[in-house]
Amino acid sequence: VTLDRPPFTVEPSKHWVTLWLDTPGGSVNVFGPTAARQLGALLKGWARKPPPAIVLRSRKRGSFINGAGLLYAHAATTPASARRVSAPVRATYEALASCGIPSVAVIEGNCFGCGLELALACTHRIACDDVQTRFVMTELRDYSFSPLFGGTYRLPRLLGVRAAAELVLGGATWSAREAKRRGLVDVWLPSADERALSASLAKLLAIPPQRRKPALVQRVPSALVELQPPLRRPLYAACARLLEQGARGSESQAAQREAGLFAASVTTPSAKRAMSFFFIRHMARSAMLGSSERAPGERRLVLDKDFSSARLRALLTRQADARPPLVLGGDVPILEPSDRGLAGGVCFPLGPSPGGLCELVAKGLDPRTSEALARELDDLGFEVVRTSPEEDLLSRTLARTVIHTLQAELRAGSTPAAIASSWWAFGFTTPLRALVGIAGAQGPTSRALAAARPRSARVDVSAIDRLCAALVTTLKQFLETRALSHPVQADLLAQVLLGFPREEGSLFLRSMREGLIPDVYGMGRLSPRAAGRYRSGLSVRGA
Amino acid sequence: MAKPKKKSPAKRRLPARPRTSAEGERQGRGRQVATEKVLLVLRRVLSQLPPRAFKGQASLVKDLGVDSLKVAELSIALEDAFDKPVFLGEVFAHVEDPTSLTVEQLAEFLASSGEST
Repeated sequence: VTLDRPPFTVEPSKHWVTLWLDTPGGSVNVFGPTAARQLGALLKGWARKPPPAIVLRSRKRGSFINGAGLLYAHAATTPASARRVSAPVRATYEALASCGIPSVAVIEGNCFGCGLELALACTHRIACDDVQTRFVMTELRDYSFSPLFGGTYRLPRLLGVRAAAELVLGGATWSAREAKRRGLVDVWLPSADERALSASLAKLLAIPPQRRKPALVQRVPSALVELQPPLRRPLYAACARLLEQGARGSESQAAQREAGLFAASVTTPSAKRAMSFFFIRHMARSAMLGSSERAPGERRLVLDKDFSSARLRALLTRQADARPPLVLGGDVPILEPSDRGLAGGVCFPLGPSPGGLCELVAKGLDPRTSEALARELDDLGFEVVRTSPEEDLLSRTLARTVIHTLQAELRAGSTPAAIASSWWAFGFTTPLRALVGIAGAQGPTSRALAAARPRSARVDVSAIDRLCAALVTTLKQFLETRALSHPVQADLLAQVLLGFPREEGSLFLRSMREGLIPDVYGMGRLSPRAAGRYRSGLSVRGA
Repeated sequence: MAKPKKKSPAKRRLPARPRTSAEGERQGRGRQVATEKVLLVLRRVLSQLPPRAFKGQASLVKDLGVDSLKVAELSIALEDAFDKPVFLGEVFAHVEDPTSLTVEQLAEFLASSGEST
């Protein structure tokens, strides 16, 4: 055995037993089959002699739980195999929820998808504030499959249907403070100070868990489904029904419905492609940052008083950090899309909201500053793309490519409404008016594109192909001029700036599938025949 | 713009079978070299694991604790080592059971795919 320690460490004390989760070998916690088996066994053992309470905590900085093992979901090919793989993990969630032992999830760091659902299976939740403490239901938003571990009925029962829909369908990101305000957690702490935490735990465990009264609105706001592009609507509608049905009635029936929808949705081509994009996104991150882990003792960036951009300072230093700061001076301006990218700086073309794009222009920045900034912005939840543009910012050039290509469509006889319809129905999520603004495009055709609204769900596939071809040409230029260093960064830039539909995987993946570009990711090597013939002992589908 | 004609990736990518024993031996050596390269990359990326963890028969997921984030990180590191695109996430997606993928199997796959390019 090489990973010779289990994911959970058990630390008994007088009033509770703490289960520390530290996924071996991983940079973040994953509640996969191994962790589920261990927790399941512990709960079984405690059936005869239960501890006074269970406290779930993470030993990984910045991660409460980030996932349940996307590799398993990605490998599931049929609804039956998806059910088979997920059943043991689901069973552990249910065992925790029904064990009758008071349980508290102490959340510090990313609380994503199944991590949030594990916290929901506990009787109480405490959130410790940190830039990385974020609550997100990632399943539908990022992977195009429905939640699996109780989110569709525990969330509406705790928060009401509307707030649950905001998380599950709307893809909202809640900070620790927001989670407290909305009732997702019982206690908010400014940090994971042990004394304050112990006091909160004692206080919380002294009172029985309170179920919030479900809100009066028991319908999912229709806009959350109807405004989705057609390709997304069926799954969103099905999830909305799960939330509405899950808010009341039998939990076991709700669990069965949830498992059924998960198994059906996780095996669709859309979900597979969305999961492929996960790897592209994180490959881009690795290409930029190197290791996903911070070196032991590595400190968080705190900008010193010489740091001249007040806005950036406000953005980056909103969290106090008790550890000794890594002091950096210098000037890192916040760039506007219209600025020329010759000097270093950061640009948030769609606004400085976490989850949005941050183009980090590394040119002219001290490499240490550039790397520290990239890590900090990544911690804050931005999708960071480090660039070295020759002239304009890459975001602006790419937005211009879109607008120029669409203007050519207008000249060829298309109408603004038809273009807006195709754009929306294909699944692009960035509004055209935002891209017109980033491109700095002027003139009547640009104004017409900015003002155009979709009128139908018809996709002009040839026009989308022409647009993709133009975007690929621009991205190839970025790579050839070394403005970007890796194709995955180009793909990430296009995805985040344009809101390229995750159901298509990515711009390059779609273009490869459609034969518009050669195989930039070595995907052709994965054809079952080729792979199956030459990999002895490796079970390959269809080989 | 007219679409280029799609080629069959399966046909395009099929590596040649070894025709002679010398060729077979060469492929065997290639796999061994590939295994060493993969192990070297794994040691670097999973530096917190003890050296004894890194064996050809080790399962990437079960024995080395490779998760989806590490898969992304390994893809980039393997690209550097093998000097060709490696989309490891898709390799995992094409196996029946992700826990079954061993270091040697990955190396063999990377080595054989190299022959085809």
